[in-house]
Amino acid sequence: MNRTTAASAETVVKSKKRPFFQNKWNDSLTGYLFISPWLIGFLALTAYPLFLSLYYSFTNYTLMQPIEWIGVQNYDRIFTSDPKFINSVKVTFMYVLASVPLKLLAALFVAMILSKEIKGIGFYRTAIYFPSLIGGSIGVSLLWRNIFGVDGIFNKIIGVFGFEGKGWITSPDTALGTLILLTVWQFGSTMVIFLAGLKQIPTDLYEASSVDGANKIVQFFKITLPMLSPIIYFNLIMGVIGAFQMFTSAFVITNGGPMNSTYVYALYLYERAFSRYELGYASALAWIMLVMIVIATLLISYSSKYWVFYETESGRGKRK
Amino acid sequence: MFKWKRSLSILAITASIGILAACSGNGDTKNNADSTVKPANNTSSEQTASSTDPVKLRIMWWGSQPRHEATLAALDLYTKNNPNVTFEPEYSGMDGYLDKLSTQAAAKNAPDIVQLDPGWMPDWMSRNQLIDLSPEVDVSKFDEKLLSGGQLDGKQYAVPLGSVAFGMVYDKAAMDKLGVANPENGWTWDQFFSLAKESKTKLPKGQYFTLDYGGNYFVYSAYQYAKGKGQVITDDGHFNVDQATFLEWTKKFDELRKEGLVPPADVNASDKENDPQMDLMASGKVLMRYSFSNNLGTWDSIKPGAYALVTMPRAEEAGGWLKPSMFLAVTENSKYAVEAKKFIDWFVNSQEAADLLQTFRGLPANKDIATSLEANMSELDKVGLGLLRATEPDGQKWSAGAGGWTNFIDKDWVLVRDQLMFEKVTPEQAFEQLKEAAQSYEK
Repeated sequence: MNRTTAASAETVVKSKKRPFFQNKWNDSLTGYLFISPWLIGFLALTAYPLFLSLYYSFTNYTLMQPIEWIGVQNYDRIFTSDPKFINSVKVTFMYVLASVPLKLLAALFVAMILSKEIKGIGFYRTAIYFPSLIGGSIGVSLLWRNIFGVDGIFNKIIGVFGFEGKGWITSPDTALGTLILLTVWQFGSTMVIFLAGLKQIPTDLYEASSVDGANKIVQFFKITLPMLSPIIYFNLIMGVIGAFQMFTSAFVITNGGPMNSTYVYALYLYERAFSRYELGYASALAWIMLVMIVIATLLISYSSKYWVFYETESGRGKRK
Repeated sequence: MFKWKRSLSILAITASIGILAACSGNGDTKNNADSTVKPANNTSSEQTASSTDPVKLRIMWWGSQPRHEATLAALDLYTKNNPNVTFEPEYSGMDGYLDKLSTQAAAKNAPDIVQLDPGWMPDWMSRNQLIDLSPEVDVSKFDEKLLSGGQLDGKQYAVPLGSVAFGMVYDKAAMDKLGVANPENGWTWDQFFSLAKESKTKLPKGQYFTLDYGGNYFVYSAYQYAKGKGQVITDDGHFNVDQATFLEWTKKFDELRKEGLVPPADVNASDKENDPQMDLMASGKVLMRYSFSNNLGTWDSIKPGAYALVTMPRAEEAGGWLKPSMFLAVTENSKYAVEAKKFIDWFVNSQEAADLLQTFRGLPANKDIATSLEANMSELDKVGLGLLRATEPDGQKWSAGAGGWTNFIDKDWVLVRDQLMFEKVTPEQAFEQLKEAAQSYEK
């Protein structure tokens, strides 16, 4: 559709009398000028640091000493003699694998409830979305630490029912789980995207199917999920990318402990860079993280053709 | 209708690029070259303008509420005396302080004046992150033993703010109530462990004798010293844990843990020193913990009159030591180095500053100031001074230690400590693990 509009616009231009300065280069120059703020920002703030970090990853850059090119030594060290790398990758994968699906489920579940048109729904939506606005902040992390601490309110509540609490964030078996719970709780923005997706599903599909005798459960699996699959796909990818970079809560609540059970990759990278000043090494770690994320993203997008359903222009219901 | 697929891959790529941008180092080679030249020639960065130009100094420290208030009052007074100098204070607790400061320093944006722990000094000086304090800062009245921690190659890069003694603090009120005998200065480790056992029948559920120090670096150091086995990490950078002593110590704490005389691991791990809610002694869960002589005031502000100090237990030798409490230094990127140094000189040498600062950073290292404060000290400070005087005669010699071991103490040792506490390793395995981790730090 875009192409046809563009083509018709071109014919309009052609049919008019063309001013002499308006050649093809000038056309694109105008375009580039219009996007130049973004372009300059991208080059200076993203592309330049990006390639600088690639360069640093082959050096022993320590901030204080002159830079020295050391080839693949950093990578070699990471893969052959760095137990903390392996540990942090393990923790990060556990975190990603547990937190992303749980968060999607929670978000979808709440979105289904909030998609109903009842009185005061705007208020409920806002109230439930609210935690996500503040969710990533240090303050909430501190709050979480107090809720799940030994003397925290969580233990007091379960104490009423006769369970004996423990230090949820200070015990190596439950610390990561507590952080995952915090992530899942911040489902708001994922939920809003689901909500928008749910609103896009035409109601006539449900009406037609209920005439055919489909109940709610069948409708959910045969209509809602397939129609929502592109949104699930989007949220999944964004969720995975976000989860790989998890930092704040691990840093503030547990600082990687106890026993390194929450020592996630970004925390390890941060420590190499800013407590040990090994920026070359940290850059190498960052690039390995990028590769891991790219692989995860590619895997998901490869798998998507088996489960993501797109509506085509030529009518509904055709699988791609 | 949906055009997700194509925009998705773009989004994904943009997002991943974003991370890298955030993670990459932001210094550049030009800065780098600068910093290697600086120490030889640091006057170039100092301001040459007259001293009446407005100057804003950033200053950063950690501490408890009383220390914050005293320091802020001192800053106000200095501004009153020197109207052209104003301050931008950044203060916090100890938690995360070094991380924050390191990050700022890495970005060449450290505050002009920073408070540093003695243990960090070798690293900071060897990385050329501080500048020589002479001639503005006068250190003639300072104890030579305390000064040495801030010196490298004959230059004074930082001044000690006070001297403190390493000992223990105990909840006198609770012990008296339970009928547990108070420890006395000069007590031994044997007495410590037998007092722990003695208290067993008297402690109610949920209350413990002391914290789990089985894997604690500092308390273990004190034990190894007391046994006459010297420093845990030698001044020339070698791992010097005495295996027999380490196993003896960890096994004794294993016993205490099994008998319920130290808190279970998850409770112990939740301890945050000096935090009114999370400090296990302040919340009445343990009877004693290690402390420095100047910290009593903080606990006292949480529960007035309840606490007392006692020397670190000893064996053949003394267990405790005197050390500089902390240092004050000017960072290499300070734009107003001269003004910053003048301020430090006032901060450590003037009586009016001392009257405000009292002993919140330990007994001042300037001898004249210390004497003047001793004359009209509060009862609380006298208790601190008592520990200082009791430790002085045969206390261990404090050393800033070898540079480059901060991470070993803060990360590797802490991991082993947790593993011991949660009983995931035996004392023997813990020792091997420490020995192995130490290898990458030895030079």
